[in-house]
Amino acid sequence: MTLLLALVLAPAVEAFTSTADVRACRPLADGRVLAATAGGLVVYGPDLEPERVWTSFDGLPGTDVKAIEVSADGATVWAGGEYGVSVLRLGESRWKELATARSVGALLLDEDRLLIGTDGGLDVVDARTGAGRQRFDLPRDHARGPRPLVTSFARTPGGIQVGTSRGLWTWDGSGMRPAAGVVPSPYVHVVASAGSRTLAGTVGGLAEIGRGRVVATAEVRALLRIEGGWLAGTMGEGLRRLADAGPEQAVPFPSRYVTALGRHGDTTCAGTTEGTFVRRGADGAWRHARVTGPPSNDVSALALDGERLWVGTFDRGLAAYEGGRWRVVSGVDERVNGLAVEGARLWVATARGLVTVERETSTVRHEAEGLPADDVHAVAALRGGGVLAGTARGAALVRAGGVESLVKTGAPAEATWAVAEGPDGSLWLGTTNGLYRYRAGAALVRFSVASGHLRDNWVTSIAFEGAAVWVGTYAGGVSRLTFGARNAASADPGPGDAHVNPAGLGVFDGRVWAATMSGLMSLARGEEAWRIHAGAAPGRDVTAVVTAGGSVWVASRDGLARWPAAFRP
Amino acid sequence: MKGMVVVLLALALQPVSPLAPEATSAGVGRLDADAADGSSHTLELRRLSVDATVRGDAAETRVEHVFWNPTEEVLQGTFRFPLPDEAVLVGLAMEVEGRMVDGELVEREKAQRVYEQIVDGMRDPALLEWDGGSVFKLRVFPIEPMAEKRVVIRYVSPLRRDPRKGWQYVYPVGASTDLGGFRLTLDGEVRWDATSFPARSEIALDVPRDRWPSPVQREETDEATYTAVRVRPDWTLVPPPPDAVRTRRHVLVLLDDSRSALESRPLALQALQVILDSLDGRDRFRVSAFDITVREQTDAFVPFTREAAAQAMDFARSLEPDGASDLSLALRHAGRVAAALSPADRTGLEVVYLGDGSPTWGETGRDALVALAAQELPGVVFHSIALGRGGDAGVLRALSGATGGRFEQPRRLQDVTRLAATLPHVRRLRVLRDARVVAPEGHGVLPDGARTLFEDDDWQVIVRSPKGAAPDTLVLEGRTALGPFRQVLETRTATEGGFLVPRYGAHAVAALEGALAERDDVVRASLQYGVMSRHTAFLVLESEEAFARFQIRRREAQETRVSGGDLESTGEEASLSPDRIQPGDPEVRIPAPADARAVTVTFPFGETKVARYEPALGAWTVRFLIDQDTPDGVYHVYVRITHASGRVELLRLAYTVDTEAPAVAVSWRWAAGRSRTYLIEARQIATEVPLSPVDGAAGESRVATILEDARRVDVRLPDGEVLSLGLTRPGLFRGYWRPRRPLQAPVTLTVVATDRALNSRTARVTLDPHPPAAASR
Repeated sequence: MTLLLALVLAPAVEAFTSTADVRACRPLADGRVLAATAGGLVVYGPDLEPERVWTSFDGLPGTDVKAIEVSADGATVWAGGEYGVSVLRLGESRWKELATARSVGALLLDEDRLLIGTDGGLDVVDARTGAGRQRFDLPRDHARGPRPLVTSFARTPGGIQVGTSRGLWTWDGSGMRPAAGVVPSPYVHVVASAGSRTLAGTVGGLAEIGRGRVVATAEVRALLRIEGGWLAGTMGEGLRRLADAGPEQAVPFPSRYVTALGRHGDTTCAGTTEGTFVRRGADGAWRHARVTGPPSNDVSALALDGERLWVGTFDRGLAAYEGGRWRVVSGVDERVNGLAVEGARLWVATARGLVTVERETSTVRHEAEGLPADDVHAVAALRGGGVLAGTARGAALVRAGGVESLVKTGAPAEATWAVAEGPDGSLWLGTTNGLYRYRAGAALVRFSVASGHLRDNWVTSIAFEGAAVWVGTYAGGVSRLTFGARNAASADPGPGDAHVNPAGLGVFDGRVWAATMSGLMSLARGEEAWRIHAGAAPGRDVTAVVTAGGSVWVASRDGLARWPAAFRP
Repeated sequence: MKGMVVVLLALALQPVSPLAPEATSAGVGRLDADAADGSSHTLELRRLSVDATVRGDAAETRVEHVFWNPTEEVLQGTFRFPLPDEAVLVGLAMEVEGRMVDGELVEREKAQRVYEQIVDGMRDPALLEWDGGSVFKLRVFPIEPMAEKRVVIRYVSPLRRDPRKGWQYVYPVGASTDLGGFRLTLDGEVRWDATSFPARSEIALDVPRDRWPSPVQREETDEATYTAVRVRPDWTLVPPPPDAVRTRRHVLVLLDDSRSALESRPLALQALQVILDSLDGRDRFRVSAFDITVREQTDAFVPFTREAAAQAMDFARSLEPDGASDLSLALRHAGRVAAALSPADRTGLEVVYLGDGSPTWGETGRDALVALAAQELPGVVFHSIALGRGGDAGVLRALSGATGGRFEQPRRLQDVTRLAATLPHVRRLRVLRDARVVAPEGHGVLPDGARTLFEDDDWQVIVRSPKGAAPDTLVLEGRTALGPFRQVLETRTATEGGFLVPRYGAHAVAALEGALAERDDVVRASLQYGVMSRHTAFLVLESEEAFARFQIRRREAQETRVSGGDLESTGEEASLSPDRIQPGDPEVRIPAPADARAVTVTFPFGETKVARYEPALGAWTVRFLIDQDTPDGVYHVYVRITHASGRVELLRLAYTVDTEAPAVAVSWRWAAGRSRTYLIEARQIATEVPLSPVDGAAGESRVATILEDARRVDVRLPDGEVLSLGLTRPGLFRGYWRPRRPLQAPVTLTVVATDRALNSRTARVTLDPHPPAAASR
């Protein structure tokens, strides 16, 4: 079946996503394997090489695909993500939006209807057109607070079992009611049924519904009916085989964290936190499908160093992209908050210290070496060498002579999320209590909401444009500070309530760029309104933007994008 | 055995004057303030809040004092706190500009230098120093007019073991006047809440039987393992004392007549009376008072008669305690007295010391004094009755232990009465001399030094071992009348220890001070274990920046970390401590064993993350992001721990997303005692928000009133300056502003209130330049 070989034109933008975190997988009749991952929907060829990775750029309802469904003839694929459901049909090159919804966690094709499990309930739509939408809400405990997420469906004689983060429910076509039977934990990951048995995998273990029996204590995330029993994918205990009659057994498997299972014919796929594995035949060896992209889609920082792009992730470490290849850098704490290039050195602000990477060697500085705190939020290179680092308890200068805590000389011991060296050599410290300008021997100057310079005291980013200072904040958008003849500062507040991400401001190409939680924005000199660049990155929460050689790299919590010189986001 | 046979039953028959308050004051601090005119008075203690946590055989008690300055003046004062018996001071916090700031333990000279350096500044730091014995002194400034001042003391103390009731938590209330408000909470449960409480009393709360500590307790830290052992000799291996013919007793009473004995004088006189009443016509006695000289009622032993005893009491009452205390002089005097006796009379000689045991003149080292006693009084029993709060029990205990004498530390009339009941039986008690506990090499045992163990003694030692290497056994050695004694003590099985680190630290510091160790060694031990010594002090500065500026490292992080409430733990080993979400990148820390097979965290938005073990923290961690569109409410995270044994533990962690900004009402008035100065006050306005119940109470709506989550209030003044108001108490902020020129027209202020989640609200308020005068309370 060649359905999923979409036409590929020379892209205006390149997406770089990680396909390691697998949500769902489904082998196809032609030997290919579909894998829904946090980095898009992957099609693996029979050789388990990725033939295509679809992201939001291709019309998917979010790059992080949580659920897939395939028609019996393989002609149609539905994909559910953060913002709804899209469909791809034979002959089409681009995904089409079928239904909008939040946090789609499960899909089930029921004749000509598509059941969509979402945030707070179940939607039923026409599987071809998306029309005739019916909504079935799950009750909430109270008016304010989280709505339950639907995680799975299973077809049983008594109706459709709906697994949710608040227990097990039954949909009989007209409404939702709590399913009979006790589960070990209210958070149901998966529900599956075969014959008279219905199993529910929860955070607390696996239960057989209807018999009130806990079958296993493992945290079961995926279930697959096999001959004589079930295959269970668990978080922490790999694959396990549950016989209909007989004890539970471990199945040799390369990964301990199995999040998805699927089968077609004699091909079985298993999704894990380390990618997709495929086995042909009941006793074939598990083979690892190649994982592409950075170590994680949650990119927290970028830095360009010539042809090399450094990529810091939220909790999967540091990587370098160079010459079309990704390389993970070891010796750096996996929680990267910020990056700065200083000559031949890369400085990495992490949750457990400030790391220097030079050639292949990494050195870590902690509080013991003089930093105000181990949790380093931000780092910026200094023109005279060394860096300025912002930590959870103030800022410090790190230079050849060692670490000098600025707190000891009067700088605030506040959580410092943004740091920068001004054109005149003064040091700018963005904290949760406003912006400070620090000069040795001079009085500390504070700019805040109360002083009329900012719209939010939590400063997340600082950038300079000539003598003006652009200040990004968590909840107050961007402000621009200029200084009058008598050094009195005035402010020209920027756009609305945008949440500017740490180190999310940049000035280039005659524009100020802001990486915000709602997307990428920019403002050109002379313009009054900020422009919103929809679709600049695989995810909406844009975390960084850098440029070099004409290309613009845009990072988000759902992967990276590179826009070539001829195109602009 | 030469013991002290004292018939103290007589005490019950004679009228005894009430014990002076000073002799029993403990557990309650006092703040004496000095006014500008030089007058001094004690500030009213408006409220006393006691919060205790029991663990093992000890408790940590947090005592919050709220004093009231009724004057219109800014005062300065001295706060004194007498620690209860055997308590170890571990923390101090003081209110600085409306915020509670924790003190830090610092080398004393450095603390004094820092204090002096910034004492002339806008804010004074606070310095808590050891005032001798068990009294601690804290200089306090400023004490704002018509305002409250809060001081918090934390200490660790052992539980009391009552022979009939078992284990008890005891809190002594020794104040000069009745308390205006008193609240006591034990293990989170309010046990006493009163608007009035007697000045001198004692609260004793029974510890449930299922929480009674075992003889062996253990506590692990990152650096070491501590084991506390109640030493119980096998008395069947110790021969009973022979039924000796009663010989004539020669009792020499050494009465400490120094200045430090003044406080305990009434109790000392009662104890002297008890000692004299224990004698009969066959006995002789002699009373010698000493400070830096010795004064005697008689220059020889006199036969006991009622008249002689009365004359001795008159002599004692005539003394005026003053001067330093030279214990070495007293020992040498006792040695001369002993040398003047015939050998037969010397066998019946008993020396009884009455005083606080704090030598301040001559030889002061514990070990040196013990050596002197051995030299001057070979074979003579030295009994000690330690009195007063300023006492140093360590020296006296060492002296008595080395000579086979009895050590007592009566605090109340009941204690003296009990002493009276036991002393007649002392001669019939089995005794183990030179008792000491020996541990394998590499392990430290404190208190060290030999002691005399009587059959009814309750003795505990604490062993410090390398981490994870607690000894399975210890050895108790000593001497009996039959010769050497040796007993193996099993220590493999232990229950959770009660605050063993500071208790071991207190012993370590006492041992170093007793041996007159180098000051640096004492300081090092004091800082290592977080307990005060003569060479360290608690220092409170105005802000964390100030601590950093003076390079004073904080032992405990002042910034809270994410955690949550453990609500459904099915096990007892792993749990999450309660806390709130900090903005930024919240981090979940799970204290599960390093060898757990897996620790996973499932978030309410559908993500499951695998936690990683961090050896430096001894915990598993995972961090996550809260989406900007997340509605306000309480959310739950599931933590699943699969232990190495296969056992599964499921925990639930709650965190709150709060985007509701605080609202404050702002007013001002003239500041009392400050010329042309406004006192600006911002009071948080209560807001109501719907509450998310923890567990499915579907259909039930609840509302919470948010009163006190504001953390900062900034005010922009007309001159452009920004004033940060200080937190006086939850929900109330204050600050002072003195305009350069008197105001004539109404003034508009911009006020920004920020809460713990960094939500902020900006408002503008216009105020009358001529507000009312300061209101009286």
